[in-house]
Amino acid sequence: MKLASPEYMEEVRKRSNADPEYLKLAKGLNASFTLILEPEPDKGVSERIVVGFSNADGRIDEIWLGERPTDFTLSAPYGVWVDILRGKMGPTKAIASRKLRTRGPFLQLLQGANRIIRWVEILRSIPTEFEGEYAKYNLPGQ
Amino acid sequence: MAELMGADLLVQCLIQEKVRYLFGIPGGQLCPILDAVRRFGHDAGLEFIMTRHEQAAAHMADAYARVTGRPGVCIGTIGPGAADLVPGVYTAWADSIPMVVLTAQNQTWKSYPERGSMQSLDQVDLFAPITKWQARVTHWQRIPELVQRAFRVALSGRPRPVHLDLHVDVLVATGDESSLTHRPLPPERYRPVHPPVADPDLIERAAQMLVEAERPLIHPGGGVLRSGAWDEVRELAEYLSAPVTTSPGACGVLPEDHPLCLIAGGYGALGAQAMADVVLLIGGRLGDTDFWGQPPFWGEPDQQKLIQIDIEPENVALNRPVDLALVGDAKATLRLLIEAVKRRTSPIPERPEIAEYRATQEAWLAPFESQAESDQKPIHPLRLIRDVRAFFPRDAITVVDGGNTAVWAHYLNRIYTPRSFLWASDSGHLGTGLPYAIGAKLAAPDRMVYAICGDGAFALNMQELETAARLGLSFVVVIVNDRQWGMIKALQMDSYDARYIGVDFEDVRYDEIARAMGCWGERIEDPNEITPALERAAASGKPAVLDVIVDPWAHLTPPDLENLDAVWMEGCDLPW
Ligand SMILES: Cc1ncc(C[n+]2csc(CCOP(=O)(O)OP(=O)(O)O)c2C)c(N)n1
Ligand SMILES: [Mg+2]
Repeated sequence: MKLASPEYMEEVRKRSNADPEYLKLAKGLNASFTLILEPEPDKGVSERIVVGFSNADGRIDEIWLGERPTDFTLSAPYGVWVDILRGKMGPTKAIASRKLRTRGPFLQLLQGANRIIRWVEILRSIPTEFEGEYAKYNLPGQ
Repeated sequence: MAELMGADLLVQCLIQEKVRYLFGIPGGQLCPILDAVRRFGHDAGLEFIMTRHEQAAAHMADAYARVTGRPGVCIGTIGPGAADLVPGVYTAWADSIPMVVLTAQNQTWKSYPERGSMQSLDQVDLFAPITKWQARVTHWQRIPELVQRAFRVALSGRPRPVHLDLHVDVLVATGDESSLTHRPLPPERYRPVHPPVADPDLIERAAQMLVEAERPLIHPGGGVLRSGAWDEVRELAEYLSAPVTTSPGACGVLPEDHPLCLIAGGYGALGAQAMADVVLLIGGRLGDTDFWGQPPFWGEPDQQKLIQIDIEPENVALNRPVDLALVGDAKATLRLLIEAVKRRTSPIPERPEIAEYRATQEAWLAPFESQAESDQKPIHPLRLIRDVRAFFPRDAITVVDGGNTAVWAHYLNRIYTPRSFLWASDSGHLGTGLPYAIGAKLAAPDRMVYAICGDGAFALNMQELETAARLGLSFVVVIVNDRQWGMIKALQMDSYDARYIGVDFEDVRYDEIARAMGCWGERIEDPNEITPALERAAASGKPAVLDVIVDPWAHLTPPDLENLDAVWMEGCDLPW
């Protein structure tokens, strides 16, 4: 499924809520997130993609497409998300290198670092198709 | 008045400076100086510490300065001797350590430019990029003037190494002491002994900003250690209830278990740095291991105010804009700043967010602490670090040298006292560990000293085991033996699809090398043997080497290596 498509986001919700390790790390988390995938027309990614989700006591209870005010926003060019998902760099490295930009209380993001790392592992397990030139990195899923 | 030889004049000046040690290797053209040390230096408390490599001599002088706050002095003979000092001088330069580098030089009539004399080298040019000031001593009359100036420059402003190139014909020349314009004198006659203080109006403004801040934060760099300002940092932090995060090289300004101290680079510290509304940066530059003072690990520069205290105007706003710059010595300026704060407010009670920072730090540390429980064989590096730290007293001096070894050590090797953490932080220069341990032990004979060294790093200067044994020093070197340049192998694993090149060693018995050099040596493979072996090593009364075999794969993955790599390789995307 296409990265950040409605069925992809549904799969994210399903797999996250079924992952005991993620749920353990996310326990008590009540926060909402916006993810922005910025376009890269020269790489064949023409659309800006915005998705969001919220956690209620750790479980992902709602997912949506488009902008809503949320507690946190994570934004990066499409290719950076691809690099994170194909394991070229971890999420903390993406943040440390300022390729993945964050808005929202940074302390809470740091507190959730291990949760985010686990979450990215879950995302990596989803069969994923990427746009444009990034299609060569499509993930087979497990 | 008596006729005096040039070398004697030089040594008289060193004695006036109360120089305790000259570190180096002898050479023909150095003999006039060494002979003066022998004839009258010893009686005045000046010793020549003969090393087995000049690089190590410079590292020892560096360590002596880091521990005592007084300049270290190293010495090299012409050509190769001078050239071999370079790595050690560079390391001190990078960390703003006061050092006086003395080199012998060929006769004035055949130098600058040299013309084919054996071992000739225009040494002033060699040292120019790694010393703050350099001079050729070309006349007997100028020896005291230039030696005094060397110490003045090394110690004033931002401390750093300086270099004197001493022509041998000048060292053996004689003259009448009464003809000198500058005679050997006590230091207070030729260099400032009271450091400069920042402008009082600016100090008042800084106090106002700190008092009005909702979430002030204090970030000391190495300048606080150089200036001896840790008591002032602590007093100000406690009065304001402000958290203290140090740059990675400045650990120990506050005891790392002080309720206001957050471990450098830990998630508690990074969170506090990001959340602060006013930051007081003292004696630091916000370089890359401080993530340039930029988001996300700091606030946005137009929202988070920055007050910077630095002795060196050139450091102001080096990496991010300031809101208020105070140019002055950290200690003297902080004293006045504390008074100005106290005039404005009573002590601030503990701020609620501190508990949250600490909780974040504890959560960050928790996995490391649980990995340190491991009984696995080969030993997990964190188990080793934990047991080593637990063995030594709080005020022991820690030396760290290595790649991933240094990252692992950072997680669990807590520092509790200032000037007790020796690490080549801004150069990352490997090979400092053993020489630093020797220099530290000479500087603080009554304190326990231990070094945690990568195997690669240790072997760069392991010849100094003989120096340590000869001097009868006792300290412990723990070798984290993973048989590889671990940090580089880890980078090859992560970023180059495990295409390893030039990173693996053969098994080396460092314990046997130690014993062959007159030291204590043991190899450790069982985690439960670490503490008993430390006991035996410390009881040996010798320089001791514990060659500890660690799990080479576990050693490759300290989690924060990724973040460091992000900083070091910023802007360099590999095309695969
Ligand atoms: C003098 C010097 N040469 C090369 C390097 C590059 N370098 C950085 S870390 C590293 C590996 C260090 O290996 P070791 O000392 O065994 O420690 P480990 O990473 O295995 O813990 C190297 C070669 C350096 N920092 N200093
Ligand atoms: Mg190694």
